[in-house]
Amino acid sequence: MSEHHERTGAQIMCEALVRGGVEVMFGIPGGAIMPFYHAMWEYRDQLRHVLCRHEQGAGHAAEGYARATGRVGVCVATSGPGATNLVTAIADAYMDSTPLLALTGQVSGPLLGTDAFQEVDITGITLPITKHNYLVTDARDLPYVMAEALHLARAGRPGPVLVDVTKDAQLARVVPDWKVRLRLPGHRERPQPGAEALDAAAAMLRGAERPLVIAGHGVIQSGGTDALLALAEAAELPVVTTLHGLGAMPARHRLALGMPGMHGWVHVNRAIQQCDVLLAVGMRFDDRVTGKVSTFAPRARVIHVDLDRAEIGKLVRTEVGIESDARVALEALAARAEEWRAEPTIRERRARWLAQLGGLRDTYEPRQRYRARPPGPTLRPHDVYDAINRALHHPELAHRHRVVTDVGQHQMWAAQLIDWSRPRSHITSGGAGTMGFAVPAALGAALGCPDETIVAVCGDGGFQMTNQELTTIAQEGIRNVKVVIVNNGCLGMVRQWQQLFHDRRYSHTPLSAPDFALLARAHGWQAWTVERAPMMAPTLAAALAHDGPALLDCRVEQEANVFPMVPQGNAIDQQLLTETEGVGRGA
Amino acid sequence: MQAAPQFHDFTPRQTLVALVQDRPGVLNRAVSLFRRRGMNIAELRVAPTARMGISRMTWIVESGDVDGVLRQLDKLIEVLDVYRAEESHGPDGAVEAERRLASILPAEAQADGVP
Repeated sequence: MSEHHERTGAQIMCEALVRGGVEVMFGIPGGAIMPFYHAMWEYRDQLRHVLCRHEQGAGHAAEGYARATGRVGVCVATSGPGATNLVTAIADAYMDSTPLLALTGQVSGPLLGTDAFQEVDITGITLPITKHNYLVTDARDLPYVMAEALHLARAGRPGPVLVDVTKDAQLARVVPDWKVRLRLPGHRERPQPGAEALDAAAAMLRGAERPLVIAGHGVIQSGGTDALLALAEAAELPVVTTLHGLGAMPARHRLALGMPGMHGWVHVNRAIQQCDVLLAVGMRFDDRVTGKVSTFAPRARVIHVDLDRAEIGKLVRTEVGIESDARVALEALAARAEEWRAEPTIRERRARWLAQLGGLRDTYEPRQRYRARPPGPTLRPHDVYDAINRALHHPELAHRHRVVTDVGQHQMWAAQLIDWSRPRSHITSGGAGTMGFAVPAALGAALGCPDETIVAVCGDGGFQMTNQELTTIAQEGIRNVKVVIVNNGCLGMVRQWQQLFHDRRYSHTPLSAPDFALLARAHGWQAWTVERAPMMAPTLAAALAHDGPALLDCRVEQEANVFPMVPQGNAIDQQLLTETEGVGRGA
Repeated sequence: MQAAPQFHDFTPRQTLVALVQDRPGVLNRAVSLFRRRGMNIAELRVAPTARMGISRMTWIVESGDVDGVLRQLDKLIEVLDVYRAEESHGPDGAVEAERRLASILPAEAQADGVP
């Protein structure tokens, strides 16, 4: 096709996606986006479109794809309700800095603002939850806007970008100008860390008595996990990983402590409260991590490395702020640490601190409730996770799996009980905590990683929100998704809070559900129900071995709670260990 | 008996200035950063500068987390630069701010025609 020919706006959109390296998109057609779908057909060898059952599913699928691969996830919807159905997924991507492009159809230009059929001001609605958005009314703007949108979705701090294209712009025939030079003077993309700040940070780490690293999502997004390990080993630094940082350090590494925060382990939270130098990398001091932020890391001088300078000093008083890509800063710090790694005084100090941390771990781990209880015939949540953990660390699957979780108690147990060792192996909705994330996100991850096994762990509540995408998975011939439902017959996390903090008033938390295995089979899946502990491992093995999508309905005891727990408003070392015992109370 | 006349309550105000790309939607995006925090905008001026396609927005807000908004304004794609001007009190706040800015940026101000 000669570049001098006219193309429709819709063809230009498709062409721009191909030029931008997009291979997959998730969506549902409708009136205002029909020209785009018409053009899409001509590009079906280059652009795979997955027809979903709800636009929220399409949005979360695009997120799952993006989180698994690091590439931009693309979702498509029509105007009006199609576009508004994307809002939750867009907000979710905004909170978790996920590279997402949402393409929506819009009514024709002359109809804008007239309350036309299926007209909704989606750019207005998504203004506060997009990194940027566009309303395109002229097809000639499309080459530039599509290129800029794809770029912004993944450059700098990634985030969702929405492009709303009027129907007449999609239909218009123009000669596209593909000579696109992006002009983004207001966008900081690759700030270089300053040498003085790096020197200051390295000096603080060198002289520290009790240094600690908190590694978050940014370490994984920047591909900085090798650099993190190099720094940790060069400077003998224990490392704590946030929910989105899980997998940045190998779980069994001697310097890997685990997850902090509201449901973090006791020794991890204590380490934070006792450290004297805290290196925070690619994390944003979310309140689930900090507890009452004024009490967070009270003895620490803080070094904060983040790509987004708006995060530095936002919530926590910071001594050294380093505006930088995480990997670049970690490599620079590791290089400096190499210079003094062999110094005996430093090694002595570190050995003392690590011994102290080891002592904390030994003291508190036996009291961590799950591990203390003897096994029995009833299925308990941690029986499910033990089985998953063992199965995934089998040699065949150890480097070929991703786990996607939904939101709630099951999500916290997954974070606590699975040994996370690879970046992008843990995919979950963190900042927004969107129930219904897992099944569609698993769909996206499965297409992004076709040679790996995707295990989606959900609760019975979240599963019921988006389970219609089971049919999407079957329709697309996707075989590598396995869903495990931790089914306790209630909205577990809410029930837990009602039990602990709201006088056991279980207001609207008991939840009935269909027979999930029967439902899954109706969608064309293989499925099993597990009700006794001894059946958990063999049934999971059967599901993993099955060549096709498979679902397990694991009916667990209802009254299990997630511990430890930092009640809201507490310091992170004031934790409940059981419904009746705590540590650090009144400390 | 007449009611006593109401005068302005001179609560401390802060002035922010942003240089932005002149495109539809920029103002809305910027205003939303104040709105979502429940901060009230007392005065606002938007006008083109001498540089083509670049406008200046001057905000006078009542108290709130102005530093927080400043960081978030800076992140907006169309915002090129953002800074605090000196504190302004009273109903002439915006005019005062412009006057002071004119003295800070003489070259640009002369191009604008501001005395």
